[in-house]
Amino acid sequence: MSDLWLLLALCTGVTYFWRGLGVLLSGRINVDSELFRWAECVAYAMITGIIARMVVMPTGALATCPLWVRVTASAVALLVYRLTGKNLSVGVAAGVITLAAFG
Amino acid sequence: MPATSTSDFRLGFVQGAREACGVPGLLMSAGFIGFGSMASDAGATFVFAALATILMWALPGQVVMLDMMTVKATLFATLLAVFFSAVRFLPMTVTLGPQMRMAGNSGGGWRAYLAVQWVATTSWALAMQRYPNMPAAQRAPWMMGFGVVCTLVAVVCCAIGYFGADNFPRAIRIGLIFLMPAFFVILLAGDVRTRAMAASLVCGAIAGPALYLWSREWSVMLGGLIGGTVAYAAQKFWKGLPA
Repeated sequence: MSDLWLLLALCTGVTYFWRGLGVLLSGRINVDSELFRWAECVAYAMITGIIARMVVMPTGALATCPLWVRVTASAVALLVYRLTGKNLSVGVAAGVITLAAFG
Repeated sequence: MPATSTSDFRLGFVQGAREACGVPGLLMSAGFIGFGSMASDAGATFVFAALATILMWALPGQVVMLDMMTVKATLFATLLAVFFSAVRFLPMTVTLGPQMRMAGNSGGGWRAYLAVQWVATTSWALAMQRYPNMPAAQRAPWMMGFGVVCTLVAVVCCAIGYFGADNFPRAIRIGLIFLMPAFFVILLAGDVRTRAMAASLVCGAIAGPALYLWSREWSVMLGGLIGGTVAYAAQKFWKGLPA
């Protein structure tokens, strides 16, 4: 039992480590510096990679929908967002409904 | 503490909290309902699942931890996996940190250290969009308000998942799972403001899935590093060309 709480405490620690380190390092990085631009590129690429993978190669329940439905639903979300004057909620809802209806 | 600082704190916190009640709140629901079900499957107690959510606040890391618990992995192996799963926070907090600390900062540094506890994929992406239009002193409080509300919603959702969400019909289940990608597709590709961002999107979208075929463990980290570096170099080269 106590092992579990130790595990949780340590997992919490190693997770926070990167967050805190970012703040520590960021004090020494100029916002307009090249290093900052590079870090921003890495962060964007990382998230885009995860999301692209979730759409193209999902695991679990999403994997039971055809690829074209996942891609179409993503496109619908983006399109509706642009057509509604950048309304985030409506865009997301349109994508989700498309997927649920055809998936 | 000067009066303006107190009101900036409140303004930022309330605005963040309010924002957490929109689509991001729904996103949390989707993710943590799944985490709750997974925890009950793995034989963990609800208190453990809820505390993991509150303290770690990193869904992928929590999933890794639970997964390693089920296969009875050693403490060291589990910690190493969770450690690597959290590397992604570094570029996020490196980019948000200076924006939070621009607030003049006589001793305001602790706010940034507390606020980053709630930096995650969703809040990072949203903050990158919101921070440029927000007074610097409100940025760390915004993250706290956003994070605290999201955490509360997530714990409720975790309970829903834990105590029996298996009965949802399939269409609703897959719709909930798709909330996350749909939200990010819009957030990332909805308004591309800079050339560097456009390059990062293209490179990341290619590198992430491609590396996943090679290694599931390393694809997130390497996809970001390789995709981001190529994007950075490409936009640098592009800028260097005569117009």
